[in-house]
Amino acid sequence: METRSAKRKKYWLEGENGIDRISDLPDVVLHQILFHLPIKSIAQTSVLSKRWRSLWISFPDLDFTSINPIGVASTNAPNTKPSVKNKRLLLCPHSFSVKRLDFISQVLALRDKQSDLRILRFRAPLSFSRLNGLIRLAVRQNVQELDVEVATDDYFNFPRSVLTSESLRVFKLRSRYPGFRLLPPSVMKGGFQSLHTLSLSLVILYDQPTLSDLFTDSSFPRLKKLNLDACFGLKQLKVSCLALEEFTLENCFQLHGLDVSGAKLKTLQVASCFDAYCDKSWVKINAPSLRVMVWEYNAITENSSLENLVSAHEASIGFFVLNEDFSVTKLRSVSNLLSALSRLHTLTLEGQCVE
Amino acid sequence: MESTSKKVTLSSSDGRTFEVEEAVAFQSQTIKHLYETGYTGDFIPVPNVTGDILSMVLRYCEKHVDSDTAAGKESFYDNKLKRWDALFVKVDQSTLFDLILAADFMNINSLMDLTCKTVANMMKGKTTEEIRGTFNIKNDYTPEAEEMVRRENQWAFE
Repeated sequence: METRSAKRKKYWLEGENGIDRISDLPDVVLHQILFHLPIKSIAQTSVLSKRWRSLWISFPDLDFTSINPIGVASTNAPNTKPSVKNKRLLLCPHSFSVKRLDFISQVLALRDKQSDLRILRFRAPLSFSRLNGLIRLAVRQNVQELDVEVATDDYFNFPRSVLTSESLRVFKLRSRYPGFRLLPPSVMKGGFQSLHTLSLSLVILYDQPTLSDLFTDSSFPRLKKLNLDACFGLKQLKVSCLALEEFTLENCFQLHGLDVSGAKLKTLQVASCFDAYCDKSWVKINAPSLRVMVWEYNAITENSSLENLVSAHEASIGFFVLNEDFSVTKLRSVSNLLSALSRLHTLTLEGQCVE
Repeated sequence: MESTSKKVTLSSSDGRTFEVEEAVAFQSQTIKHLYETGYTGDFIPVPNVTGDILSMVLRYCEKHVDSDTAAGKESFYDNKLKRWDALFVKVDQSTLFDLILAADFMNINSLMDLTCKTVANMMKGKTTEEIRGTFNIKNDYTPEAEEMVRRENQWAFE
């Protein structure tokens, strides 16, 4: 065995018989091999030979998140409340050499126009126009998944080209600083026809505090997963997409009213929402398929109406209580919420719960 | 458990035949799909795969069927299987590429993943010249063209 493996090793290192077999593998197979390498290593292979350059310019999954010029560690820490002051210090875009980031648009521009882009993910400090340009390029190459996290020098508008994409399935847009605005409702409506996952973070809605007819069937006929985080200025939200299965709403501190209905909704997570000082806040949920409900660190709403929660299986409920404010209406509201969940298998009550 | 009794026969490109349990053959999505869409024969030609490679692939499938049914996802067994996998792909390059092609043709996801990862690991951390050496890739660029390609991907070399 010893000698055999030694022989094998020698054979291995010499690259047998001088034959290049790897370059003859089909494109799809070579792409699957490259998929296991970080993006820089994949791009480097283009120098190997002409064949490998053509593999690189048709490589469908461009994940630049292994290169993280924003330089702030984790992006998925929804529990840490955004501290704008800190961000301003860390993320002032001018402190980064913006030149370094041109490579993403360069890579997109070099791509073989015959082969579609499947995934584009990046995190970068960018100007709004450059961000728009990148997204437009990606949409033109029929991108299916866009996952973008940016710090910009000013507020920016929701990228218009995303609306009309027929290929886009997944869109995640997270602003690190200072946030972005949605387009006017008349423009937003009617797009997103093939989208099934939407995730937005740091949305500035002071000009548009009511979103009651955006998340509907006509705009999002296929939406299965919706994630809204840090929507500043959002006061009223209505979500009624028929296909929706999973909905997460977090860090919307100015929320007064929330109306969620969906025949297929299975998971609902609402955390750190509602304005504790508002005395007319309300929540209305109608979700016959809902199995899991997480309701945490929310201010108690004056009115809670939960209907049709016949499939609820698991819930975790907790509140953020301001100055021991237990008015009768609030207590009734909590009790409404809890009694609607009476068929649960598991109920976890977080601290500060009311008897 | 019923499936243990049912057997199917696969025949390789060089005419060798292998009789295996249905569950083993069905690790291949291609074969599974064939049966699901109404194929009734008990003899399946695998035209792109030689007997030597097919027997290796079937050995892999047998191992992974066992792990699925017998021990489930117990971590001890899982580790053991990983070690088995690691030994399984310690083969010469040409066999490795044949396994990749077979996994692709027969659509066996876990084998595809295992073999592709193995090749990717052979490229990891290597310079362009070292990768060319490992796989005998012939540089067909003129020096000027190579320089140009290197420049258009400058960001990747920084």
